Parts: sequence; structure tokens; C-alpha cells
Amino acid sequence: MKSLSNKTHTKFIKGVIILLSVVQILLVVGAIVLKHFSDKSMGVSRYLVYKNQVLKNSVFSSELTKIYLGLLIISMMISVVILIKKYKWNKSKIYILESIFLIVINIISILFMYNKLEILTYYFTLIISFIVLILQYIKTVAYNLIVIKS
Amino acid sequence: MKRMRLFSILLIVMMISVVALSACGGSTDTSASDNNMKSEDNSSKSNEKDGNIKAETISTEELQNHIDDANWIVVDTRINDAFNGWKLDGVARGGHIEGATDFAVNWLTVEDENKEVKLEEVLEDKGIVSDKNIVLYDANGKDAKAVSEYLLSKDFKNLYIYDVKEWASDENLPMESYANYEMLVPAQWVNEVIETNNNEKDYKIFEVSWGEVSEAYKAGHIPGAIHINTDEVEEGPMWNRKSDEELLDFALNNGINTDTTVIVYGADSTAASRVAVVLKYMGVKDVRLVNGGLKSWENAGFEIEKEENEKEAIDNFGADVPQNPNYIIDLAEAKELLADKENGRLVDIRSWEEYIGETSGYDYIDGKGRPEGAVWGHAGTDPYHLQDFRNIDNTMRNESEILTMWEEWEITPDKNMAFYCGTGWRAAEVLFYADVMGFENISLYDGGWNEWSVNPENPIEVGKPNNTSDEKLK
Repeated sequence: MKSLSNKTHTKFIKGVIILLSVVQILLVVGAIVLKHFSDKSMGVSRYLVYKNQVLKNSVFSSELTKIYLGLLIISMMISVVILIKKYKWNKSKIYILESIFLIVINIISILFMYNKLEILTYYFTLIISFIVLILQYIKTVAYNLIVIKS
Repeated sequence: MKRMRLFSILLIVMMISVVALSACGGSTDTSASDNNMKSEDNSSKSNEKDGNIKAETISTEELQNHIDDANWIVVDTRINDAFNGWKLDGVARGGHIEGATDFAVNWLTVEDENKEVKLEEVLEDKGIVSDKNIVLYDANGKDAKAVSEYLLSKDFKNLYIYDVKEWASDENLPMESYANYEMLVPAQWVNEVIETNNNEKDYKIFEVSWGEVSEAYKAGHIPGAIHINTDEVEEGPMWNRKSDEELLDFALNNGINTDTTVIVYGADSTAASRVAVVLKYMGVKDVRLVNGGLKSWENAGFEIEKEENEKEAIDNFGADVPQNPNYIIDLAEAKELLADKENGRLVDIRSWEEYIGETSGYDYIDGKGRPEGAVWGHAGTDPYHLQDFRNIDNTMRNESEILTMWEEWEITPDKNMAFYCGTGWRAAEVLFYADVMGFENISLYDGGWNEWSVNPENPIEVGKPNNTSDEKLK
């Protein structure tokens, strides 16, 4: 009975992980599509210019940007720790790969923050990279739950 | 024997001559008879042939007798440019018969799913109604006939056809042209410029649209045309013109100096007008806009080129920028105009819904309403249309109709006025038309509603102005 419940639990978590992976892929595709339309449509381009201005003066002000950068560096350190711990606990390839992916997203986000790209979708790409990073953390925790249960 | 042979030859020559002459004579007679038939067909307005009523031809004298009669209306059926002032189809004088209205033959072939409804509205607006006597004139013997056939299909009966060449050849008969009609050019003129290489005078043709790579340009353009991206002359987030130094670079990069004849066009004339206005502000002396945009070039049957033409940069503009600083004004001057209630007019070229503050019209402009004191100069149904200033084929609307539309809002040529819209495209086209009509104290308020609305200190109005009559909203 207990084993059946564990199985259902694991199945559910795996389902969540797959769902989150799909969302991550969709977000990345969304960023690419937005970039494409920013080059093709004047309406999209002008909307982005306007939104960039709004974002620059609000959630991406220079003070907040510094805080985000600090958080990302902390996050980077955490993800390295997670990778090392995971390597000790469980050496399954997918498990390690997810942790490496966490580090890679972290690095990409930090690079985005450091080097402001001259593209109209810059802030939106940054927001998307943050969301993908958060989702990756959730996935990492979810993997841990599977490992603990099993 | 010799004499017989000579006689035979003479006889044969005579016979051939007689046959040839009779053939020619016969031909002339037939032609005359055909003409008579045509004339009879045309001259009897109630003459039914194959069950169809035909329009009657009318003489210059008869037209003169009826021209001031309220039951008669004179309609120019030629392309819009001929009405505006261009001498096309061999007329001695350009422009239209004084007091005539327009209904161009090419409006009948416009591709528009609501064409029939729109054309009927146009007829009514222009007073071309079935209980009037309608004189349709052209200069090629085709346009008036085509329009008459259309009107006959709409149950119009009292139709007359006239050849305007007769009128134009008599200097005593009054004709009207727009003051600066040359600024708005027909496709035929552009083609002539290309064919004659503008008589060795420097010229450039530009297709204007948004984007570094323009799909519209790639799809096909006037031969020799170079693409201008509107971002070359303006920048966000206000979308005002760039600095004078940057504009100078733009001109040099595109090979434009003050003496270059610059012909601009686009699928959308607002973009081309935006660049045209900037070039005039800078000091380019001869800036022309293709009336009706690319479509008019296509409709005229001229060649379309698809290969990309490269910009050819130069290093001397020929003057400091700007040479006409008053042609584009900014916020401070716009406020001065509003303060001058007697002679100043800040004219809103946006839809009624934008003017009264129901919508900002743009997803990148938050504010709704208008600068306090601005008058409504009309525009179109939304920020992407300008129907109040364009015919169904996107050519410039009849001057007298624009003036009537403006009169209610006291937008008259004696005023000092600036046009504005959201970011300066629609207003640029209307400014250009006002220039064509000969308005003198005119300018573009560059920042427009986008600039005005971002600063809460700028006074804003919403709703209908207190003195709004239903007449004003037409």
C-alpha cells in the first residue's frame, strides 16, 4: 500500500517536472518569437521601446539591478553547492544534468545582467531567464523529493 | 500593238485609282457614319440602345450656361493629379473647371471589399445625386464614359459628357489648381523623371517604411528606389525627430543635399510624409510625395523592381540644418500656439475617439485626451487610417472638402497652426497636404500627444468640447 502511494507520489512529481520543463521550453521559444517580431513589426518594436522605458525606471532601476545581480551570484553559489551535494548523494545522469542546467541558467542570467544587450527584447529576455531559473530551482527540489521518497 | 499596250496600262492604272479612291471614300464615309452613330448615341440622353440609356455629349457653350445652376454638377473623372493641377493627357492648362468636384475613374477599380458602399457615400457627400444634371468630363475620351456607365448602373439618368481639353484651351474660362500641386506627384511624372534622368538634375527616389529590412520594399518598388527606414529620422520613446546632427548624417548617408529632387513614397503615405516633412525642415528645396503611394504607380502600369538598391553617401549637404526650423515645432511652441486663442491653432489629427479621450489609440501611450484647447482636425477611424483626408485610392482628398471639414473648427489658412497626432506620422501627411493647398503658417508639432501626455503638468481635456455641434462631427 505504502509502495503504491510512493509510486503515485513519484509519478505526480515527475509529471510536475515534465510540465515545468515544457513551460521552460515555451518561455525560451517565446523569447525567440518576441525577438523575431521586434524586428518585423513596428507595433511590437514601439511597444517594447515603451515597455523598456517603463521597466528601466521601475523594476530594472540601477539600484534594483545591483540587488538582482547580488541575488544571482548567491544563487550561483547555492547551485554549485547543490551540484556537489547531489554528486555525492546520487550519481544518476539526469540528476546531475539538471543541476548543471541550474548553473548554466545562472551563468546566463548573470551575463545578461552584466552586459546589457542592445536588443529591444533585453528586459523581457532577462525576465524570462529569471523565471526559467526559478522553475529550475523548483525542479531541483522536486528531484530531491523523488530521491528522498525512493 | 504598242499603242494598245499603253492604252491597256493606262486603263489598268485608272481602274486601280478609281477602286482605291472609292475604297478610301467608302472608308471615310463609314467612319463618318460610325462617328455619327456614336454622336447620335451620345447626344440623345434618353436614347436607348440595347435597352441601355447613354450619356449625352455637351458643348462648352452649354456647359457655361449651366455651370452656376444648382441643379447641375460638374464632375472631373480624371485621375486625382489632373484635378489637383497637373497637365495630363495633353490639356493646355492643368487643374479642374472652377467649381467642379471630383470622382476619378480609377476609384471604380480599387480593390476594397466595401468599395460599393464607400463609392455611394462619396457620391452623396459630393452632391452627385440622381436628380441633378451631371456633367462628367475627361481629357482622354474614356474616363467620363466609364464613370457614366457606372452611374447609369446606379440608375442615374441626366448624364452629360464633356471634353475638358476644349475648356482648358480657352484662357478665358476659369480653372483652378492647388497652390503647390507640384509637391504631390502622379506616377506618370515620376516615370518621366526616371526616363529623362530628371534632365541631368540630381534626383533620388525613396521607398519609406519602418524597418531596416522592409518587407514592403522587398516585395517590389519603383525602379531605382532606395529604402529609408523611418527610424533613420526619429527615435523612441517619444518618437520625435533625431537631433539636427543625426539628421544631417541621415541625409548624407542617403545622398541627399539641399538641391536634390527627393521623391518619397510608400505603401503607406504617412511614413513617406513623415520623412518628407523632416527633409523640408532640414532644407531640401524640392521634396515630392507620390500621390496615392506605390499603388498609384502599380495602377498606372509601370514596372516594379525587386532588386535592392544601395544608398550612395555624399559628404556635403549644402547648408546648415535646419533651414526651415519653423516647419517642425516642439512643446514650448505648441503651448505658445494654444495661448494665442485668436490666431493660433493646435490641430489634432487623430480619430474622434482619441480626441475625446475614449482611447489613447496606441498600446505604448497611456494617457487619454487632448491638449487643452486643441481643435479637432479630423483623421480616420483609428491611428492607422486617415480616411478623412484621402480618397478611396489613397490619393489626397479634394481641397474644398478638407476646407469645409476644417471651417467648423476655425482651421483656416489665415491662422498660425501646428498639426499633431500620436507621434507625428498622420499629422505629417496632413501638414504636407496643407502645404499643397497653399497654407503658409503651418508646422508639425513633433512630440504630439505622446509627448504632451507624459507630463502631468501639461493641461489635458477629455470629452466633447462645449461648442461641439453635430455638424462638426461629420
